[in-house]
Amino acid sequence: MKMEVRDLTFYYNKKLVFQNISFSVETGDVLFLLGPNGTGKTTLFKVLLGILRPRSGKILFDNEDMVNWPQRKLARYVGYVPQNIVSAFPFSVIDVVLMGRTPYIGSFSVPSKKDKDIALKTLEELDIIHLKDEPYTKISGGERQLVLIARALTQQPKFLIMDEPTSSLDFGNQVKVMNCISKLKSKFGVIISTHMPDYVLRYATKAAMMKGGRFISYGMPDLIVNKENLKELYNVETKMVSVPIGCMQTVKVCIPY
Amino acid sequence: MLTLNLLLLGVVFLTVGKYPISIKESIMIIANRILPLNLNFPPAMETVVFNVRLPRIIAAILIGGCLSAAGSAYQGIFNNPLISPDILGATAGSSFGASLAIVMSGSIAAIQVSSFLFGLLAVFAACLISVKVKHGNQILILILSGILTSTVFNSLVSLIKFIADPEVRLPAITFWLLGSLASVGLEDVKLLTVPCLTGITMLFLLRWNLNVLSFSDDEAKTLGIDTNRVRLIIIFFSTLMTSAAVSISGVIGWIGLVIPNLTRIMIGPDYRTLLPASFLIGGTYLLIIDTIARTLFPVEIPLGIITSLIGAPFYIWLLAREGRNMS
Repeated sequence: MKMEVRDLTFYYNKKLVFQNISFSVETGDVLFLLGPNGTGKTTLFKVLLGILRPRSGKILFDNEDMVNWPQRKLARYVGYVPQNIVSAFPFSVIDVVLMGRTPYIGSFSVPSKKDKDIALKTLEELDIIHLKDEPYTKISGGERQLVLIARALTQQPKFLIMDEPTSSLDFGNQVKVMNCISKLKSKFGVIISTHMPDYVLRYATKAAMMKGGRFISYGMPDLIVNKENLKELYNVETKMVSVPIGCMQTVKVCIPY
Repeated sequence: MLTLNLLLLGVVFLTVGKYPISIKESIMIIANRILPLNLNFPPAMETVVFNVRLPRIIAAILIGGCLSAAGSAYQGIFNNPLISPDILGATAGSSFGASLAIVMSGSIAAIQVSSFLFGLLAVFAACLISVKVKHGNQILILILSGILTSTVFNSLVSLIKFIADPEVRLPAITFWLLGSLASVGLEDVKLLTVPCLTGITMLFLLRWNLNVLSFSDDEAKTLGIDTNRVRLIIIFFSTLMTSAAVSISGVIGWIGLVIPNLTRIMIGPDYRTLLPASFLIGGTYLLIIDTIARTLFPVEIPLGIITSLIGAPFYIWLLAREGRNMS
């Protein structure tokens, strides 16, 4: 399945947030979005998720425009993993994950046994089944991020949108989440925002750099994550280094100085 | 089990009061009405059971249950455990409506209709203001609008009290504002049943939506919920229940705040169980409070006073608890 974004533009009142954004993501793709804070990445995600309506441009799923889709239908195509959030109420982990089934159950009904089985299976896949009865408010930040991923997977969407999924995590949990994403990518198209160029080089199949509400470059990660672009994006001098890990495999990393 | 407790209490409390009636007698009196037993009881006894105690017990259960269930729903959609049904101005609006009716005529029916209409009006005013102010945190603006409408209606209540006839009307208003079930009759119960049961049924049908709405608005949308529409429906029915309850009983504060939180601590935040449990525990709570109010002292104590005296310390405890959870 293919998600295609054409000339997407959004502004609040008269303040432009982003304009003429175009890209496409297919099943198996992992598109990383790099860009400084306040450049419109989160707003772009909100438009892709149907929370905000685009002012102009199109979002197509296999050539079908989603502009008049009900929220419920869109939720079956796109799942969202927000930055670490906390509810005011101590819902159990299994209930939070079950909420991913909402687009499939009627307004007046509740999740069935089958829905619960799907949720439990996802928890098992992510190796967090032991958390299922814990209150969501009492587990660690890394575990919470995994629970939010589990919820998005339980939603069984075609595409996943993740807003800086590693930003508040310790090193170990960051690696865990990134590995989990690269394991999942065969089943979904994934769009991720991040501040770590190394992750883009390591895990992305596509990359885009966003600044001032525009894509300043978009394409193969190896080609666009380079000294010049990082300088333009963050105003930081970097050096690109290839590091061998194991036999036959090298990973490119970028070192700021 | 909660239902059983409530029924049992209801029957036991039928016997409590100045006119002595045993449990067996009260059951027989009720059975006599439903089944063709052809038993004879003193007319005074039947009157006490059917026209005084039974309506009052049913009203206490329905009102306590409605205020609690509405409170739990409000807390969910505003994602804040410290919110109560009063927040959108329902109580203040109803108070104004009732005070106005007391000054104008004083008939029971007028008081109920007027307090109900102004309760709804207050909430719609609050919602309208928040829709017109189109920026920033929508929920914060809605709460502020509720506080504003409450302030306006509370001022209007003060104005009415100021100009009301101090011999008859002013005490009547003051008494109503304190909350009481002393004058509840069969007619009131009939008026109460329809909005109460409609409201609780609608909220119960939307119980899963309430769960999802307990997270942020954006998240609920990405999970496929039309948040604006569902939230409006929930606000409408919660307000309907609150206004219906307040129009019969007067202002009985704190139940909508205390009971849902207590229930949440006991059985967890899942609305599939929280909503019915809040209703039942709220009903039980008000039934106990009302029975204490009518029997413990020679003069009836207004319910609002008792629920506030219990509610305020609980709120402080809850605040401290929430503070600990957040840190």
